[in-house]
Amino acid sequence: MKKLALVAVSAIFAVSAMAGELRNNVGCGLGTTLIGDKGNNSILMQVLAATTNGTSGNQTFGISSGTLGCKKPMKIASNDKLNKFVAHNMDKIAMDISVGHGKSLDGLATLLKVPANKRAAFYAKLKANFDKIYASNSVQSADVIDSIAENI
Amino acid sequence: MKKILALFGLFCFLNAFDYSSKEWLVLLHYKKTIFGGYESLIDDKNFFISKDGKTSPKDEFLSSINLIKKNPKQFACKFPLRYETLNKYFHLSNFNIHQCPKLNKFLKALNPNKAVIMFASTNLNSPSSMFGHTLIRIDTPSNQEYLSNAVNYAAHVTDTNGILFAFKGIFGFYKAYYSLLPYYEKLKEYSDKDSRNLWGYQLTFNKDEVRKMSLHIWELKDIYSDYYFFKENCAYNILYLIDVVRPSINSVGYYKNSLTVIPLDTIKLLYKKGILSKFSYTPSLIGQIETIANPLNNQQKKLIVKIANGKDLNEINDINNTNTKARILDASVRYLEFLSKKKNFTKKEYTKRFLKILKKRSRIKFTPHYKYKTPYNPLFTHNSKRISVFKGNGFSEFGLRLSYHQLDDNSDGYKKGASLSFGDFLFRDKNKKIKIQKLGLIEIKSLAKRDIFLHPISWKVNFGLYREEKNLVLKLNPGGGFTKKIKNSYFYTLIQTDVGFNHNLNKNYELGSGIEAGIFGNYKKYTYYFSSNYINYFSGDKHKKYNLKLINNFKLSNQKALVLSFKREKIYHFNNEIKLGLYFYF
Repeated sequence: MKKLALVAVSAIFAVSAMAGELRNNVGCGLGTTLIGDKGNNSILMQVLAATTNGTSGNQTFGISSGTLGCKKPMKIASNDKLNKFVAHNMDKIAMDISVGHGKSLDGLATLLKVPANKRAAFYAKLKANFDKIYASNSVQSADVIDSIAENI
Repeated sequence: MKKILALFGLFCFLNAFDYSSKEWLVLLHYKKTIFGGYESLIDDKNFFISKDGKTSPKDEFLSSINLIKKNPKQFACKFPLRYETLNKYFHLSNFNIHQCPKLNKFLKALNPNKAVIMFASTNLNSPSSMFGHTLIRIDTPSNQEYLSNAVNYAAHVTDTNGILFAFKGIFGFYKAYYSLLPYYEKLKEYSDKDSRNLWGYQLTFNKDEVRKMSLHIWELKDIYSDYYFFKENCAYNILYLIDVVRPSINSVGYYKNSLTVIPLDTIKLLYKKGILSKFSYTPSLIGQIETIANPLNNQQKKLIVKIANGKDLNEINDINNTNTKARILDASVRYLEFLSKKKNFTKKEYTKRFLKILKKRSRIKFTPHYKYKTPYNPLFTHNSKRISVFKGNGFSEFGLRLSYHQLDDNSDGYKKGASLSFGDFLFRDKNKKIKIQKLGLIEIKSLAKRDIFLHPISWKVNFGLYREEKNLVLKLNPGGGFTKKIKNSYFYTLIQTDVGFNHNLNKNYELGSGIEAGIFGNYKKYTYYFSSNYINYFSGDKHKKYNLKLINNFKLSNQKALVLSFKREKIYHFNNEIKLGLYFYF
């Protein structure tokens, strides 16, 4: 009965195109995960979205694949896990550095094997060097990794 | 084959494990069919060894044992948990799953230690997502959320047509897969993009049990099942990952006869089974902004909006308090992120604003740990099904609502102003005659407040059969408007249209437009909902309809409420009603 009801209601609304949930737009710079990911927030879509928890992404097991089309850092041994982590969390890491702590920064420090007792000093140093790490608007993840490596 | 059977008979005698054991049935996602047989929920042939595996636990069991004897590596590297389980009872081979290179790499990357079941609550101003969503987070020993991974079950949607999307989702035309992705991707998706709060409930599984769960996740890699929105959905399928670890939990079995599985209900079930410990709460991006901006005055809040919209930062220099400055900047950068998901500005413009704010922020020493107030835990909310019994002036009533939450329910733990009901049935006994009062099929109200940061449109849609004096009218009633929060009350106004069909109506239909306005809110255990409606039917059966309604709900316990309601209504004649009764949630 409920199923029929929902279909009936769906049918009453006008047909509308729906922007798929494209989330694979990952790049190497700031803002790449945000821009161009609008989705469709119309009321119609909200009602229809009630029916299916869907995803159009075809990446189902994304944990072991680490190769990205980003340039590799120069000053630190190449590490797929680290490269991927920074590229995928560019904005969050920048936000955490500007404040001086945060969960993405904790994750990064763990990957860089910074001991727990040295983290506060490490974060403070990164914060003090914010302008250098993010010297240009087109900064890439590899640049960020290199700058951070200098501050360990 | 005969030899194996004979061998198998012997083992069965020695071991309390065979193809009908719970442990085996859950590993292959079998459930009993109405005809007494078995069927696996998994539709992908690659999940089974036997070609009859989907429907025969016995065939699958024997074929598996057979294959392990012939080629243990081939079996074990693809189905490591099944292999370990069978080998534990029957000692079929000395092969160790550490000898599987790909699986090893997977386990190393995942580094499983603890498992947390996550509940993503309501979307911003979208009751359609009110059913929520569940996923499982696998934590590493470092306990760093950003290094965790998340298992998710979702349909792979390829359609861009909304109606097709709904239809296929409901009737099983989409293939669904389990996926495993870094948890930060899920944070971006739910917390940042969809503005949903995330609740985490740690499962009481030890490291070895979480490893077992991970082995089963490996078995489900690239395996599809048909997706059915109402039952075979994310919440239901995620339960298998818990049951394989401890078959005695049998959470899937609980839903044997249910037509629907609602995500929050599954978490409540696991809580009842005593396997949830430590709770955690991650506010959505907009929730973070609200908390950070909370101590600020209106002018400062407006400054946040201006900065996110690209205004220069000079105005902030006039503020002396560094804490206030830090709060404004921390909220601004989050609001910029929020806006970037709604508005069309270029990546270049976004990056420029983003770094300008952060550079300024990095020069302020203040490094606060913002205390996000934990809201009412969804575990202790009223359940989604509701029975109501009422005694009124000259009538009695009985009602059943199949789901989910409405404005006359206590809103603790639910999104304020979000009302969603699928299947709300009300029967009235008057002068010893039982009549249908209402068969509400779908009723949604989204009354989200507007403030400095958010400007949502409020809307409603009702669809079903509603009694209008002698007639039971098939109705569609949509509306749109605004909601404002003043102190602890929500005031809303909607413009509405209404179309109804019934053979007793003049010309068989009525079409009208009008207005709805109301106030709702709650104070501790008391919830009130006042609404007023006016509709002028200008076409078909011409008449005017008014009603005023006040519902008072006193929460007696999480699953019980005392309700007193008053109504004055004119459809064709004036009518006053008062009724007193109870709501039972289950």
